[in-house]
Amino acid sequence: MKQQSLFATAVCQVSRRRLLLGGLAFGSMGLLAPRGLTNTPKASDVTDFLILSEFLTGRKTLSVTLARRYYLGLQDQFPDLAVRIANLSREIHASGVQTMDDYLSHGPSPEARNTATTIVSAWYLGVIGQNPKKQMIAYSDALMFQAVAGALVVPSYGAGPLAWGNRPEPYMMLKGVSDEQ
Amino acid sequence: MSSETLHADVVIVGSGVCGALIGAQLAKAGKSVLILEAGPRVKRRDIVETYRDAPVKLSLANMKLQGAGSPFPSLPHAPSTYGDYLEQNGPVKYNTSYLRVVGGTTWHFGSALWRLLPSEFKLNSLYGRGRDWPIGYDDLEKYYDLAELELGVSGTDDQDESGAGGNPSPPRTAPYPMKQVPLTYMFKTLAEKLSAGGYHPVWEPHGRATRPYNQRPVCAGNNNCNPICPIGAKYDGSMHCDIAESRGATIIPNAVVYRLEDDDTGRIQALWFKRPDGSEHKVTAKVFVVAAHTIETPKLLLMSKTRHSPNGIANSSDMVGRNLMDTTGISVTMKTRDPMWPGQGPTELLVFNKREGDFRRNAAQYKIKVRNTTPVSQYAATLLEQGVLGTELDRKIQELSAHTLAWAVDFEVLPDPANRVTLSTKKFDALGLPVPSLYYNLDDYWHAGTELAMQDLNNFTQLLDADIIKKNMKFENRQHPSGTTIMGDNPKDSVVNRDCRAHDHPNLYIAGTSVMSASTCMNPTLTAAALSLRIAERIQGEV
Repeated sequence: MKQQSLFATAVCQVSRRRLLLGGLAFGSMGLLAPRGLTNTPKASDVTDFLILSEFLTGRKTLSVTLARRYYLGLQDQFPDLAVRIANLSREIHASGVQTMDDYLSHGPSPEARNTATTIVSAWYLGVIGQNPKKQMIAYSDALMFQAVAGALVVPSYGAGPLAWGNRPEPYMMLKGVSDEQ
Repeated sequence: MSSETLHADVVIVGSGVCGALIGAQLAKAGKSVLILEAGPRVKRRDIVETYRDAPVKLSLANMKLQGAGSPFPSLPHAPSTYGDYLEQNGPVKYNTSYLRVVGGTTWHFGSALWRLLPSEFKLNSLYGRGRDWPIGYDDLEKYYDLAELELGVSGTDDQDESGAGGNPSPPRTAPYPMKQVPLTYMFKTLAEKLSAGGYHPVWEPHGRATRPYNQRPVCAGNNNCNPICPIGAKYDGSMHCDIAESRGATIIPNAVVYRLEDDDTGRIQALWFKRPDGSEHKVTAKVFVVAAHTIETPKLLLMSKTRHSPNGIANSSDMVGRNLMDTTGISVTMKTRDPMWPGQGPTELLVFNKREGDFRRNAAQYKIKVRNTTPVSQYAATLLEQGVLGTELDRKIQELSAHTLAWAVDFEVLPDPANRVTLSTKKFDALGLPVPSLYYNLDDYWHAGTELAMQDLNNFTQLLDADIIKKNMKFENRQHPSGTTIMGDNPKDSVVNRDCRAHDHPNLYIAGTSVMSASTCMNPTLTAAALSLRIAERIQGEV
């Protein structure tokens, strides 16, 4: 039996979350049908963006509030965002992969990879777009800091008075990071 | 022009560490003190907020971003050096970054607070290079002590700060006011591995509190010393502005001084400042102190061409603006086999100094430092630009952050009259004042120093099992400017005398690193602070 893709599982999980959030309608990846420019995306657009973002970043608990802000910011800078997201979502769906790593080895199309990088960049750096239109969305919640959390602080959010000196150990244990000594 | 004339016993131009220290000392002694600051007042919380909200974070870890922005304000009447304010004319860019706000540039300094060594006052007589200072270490020692207390310095007692691994130097009569911060894993590891190769680690003295000190909390490892300590554990000049004002001094922000006036006896009679609205105001005083930074101080003196001083105030020697120095440096990035994790605790601490020895006849002395600035955002951005995604992205962020060492070397620069600050003839600020125009070049002495330092850095790669992955030999400005109102005994080739008093004007003092006769390779702030306390003592005896 074909294993259910994690992406599909995530859709189900988020549909539960929607119910918890107050009975939001379950969109069928509603982004497949792009609309014109708007600054007030449907809640389902944001939720679909959140599902996609969680898949792309390998995170399970991204913030809905930040998702909305990233989505709006990206929409502002990339008028064809909805189409790009729809294409990327369709491609992931079609591939049947369970994880982002599997999707990457599966070989995304250049356009899909480009869209994925745009979205992941936003979440990791907390910043959208290029100079001079760079827009700040999140600082301490930027995902890049999670990779080193436990070892390094987010600058300006220190660990406390003279609270350093032990060998740094990041919380996120990853295979392949050299660990001699 | 305003009809109202302000008056004080002492008027000080500039509210940075030097002007604020002098103002605080004299206000405490009961003198009437007026401090004029070109820029606005800023609040720590606003700067921290601006920093956190900025899409491009300014960081010393990435010198390329130096021009990208700063959380400190840039106003038309006091433009920020992070923009295109400074005009560059020389073969080497002198892209220094100073702040024009109440409290001055120490708001964003790394807070290294070194004393000079006795030998560094005698470069010429010992090694036949540059100039000697007209004073020696012994003349300054008690003021170094006092400056360390005023600024609140944390340091390691009993180490040889020359880097030679010998007896404690320079000689001190008092221990550091506060003990050193804890060593991070990286610092301990590097010190151990490099000591094995005969290198002598030196722990930098600095202005971060390690116990509650005056109004300051203990350093909390925010790793954000530049551009702003979010909690005020790190010293900055605003703290002495607060002391000065609490003791009765007046600080006027947004007051851009543009002219000093002398009389036929050489005494300074008055100065003039402009408000952002262009209105002009006159101040008279018994004593005048210019403490406006190594670039702005000569600019003000050169703008002040009077009947009695046609080349500008204090400029009969034609030395105002000349002998511009820095501790211009290079940098080397290494990848180590073992994880080191730079970025814990405050942003700097460990250095390897080469300050003394006969090599100084032929090559600049230097200080090798390892940057301890969290590099995560820089690496994450680079990886994403390269298209790295998936688990590999987290893995690479960890790996680069843990295994990459950013070394930077600062070198002594000799005083050369050709390196100078002049007034732009083409570019003016919103008040119509010319912007500083800079000419800067580096000589064979500096280049010879870089060759010695590269030998050390290559040795480091062996000792650390590391590879050099990037090198920048292209003259990185280190924000340690000096020399433009150089101190000397001879009025024909220097601007101020051994008391920091202008040779040409008995009631004009110049405070700041601009009076230094030699740059050395070290951070100059403590020396300027010590000289400022000495100036305050002199003035106290005069008014």
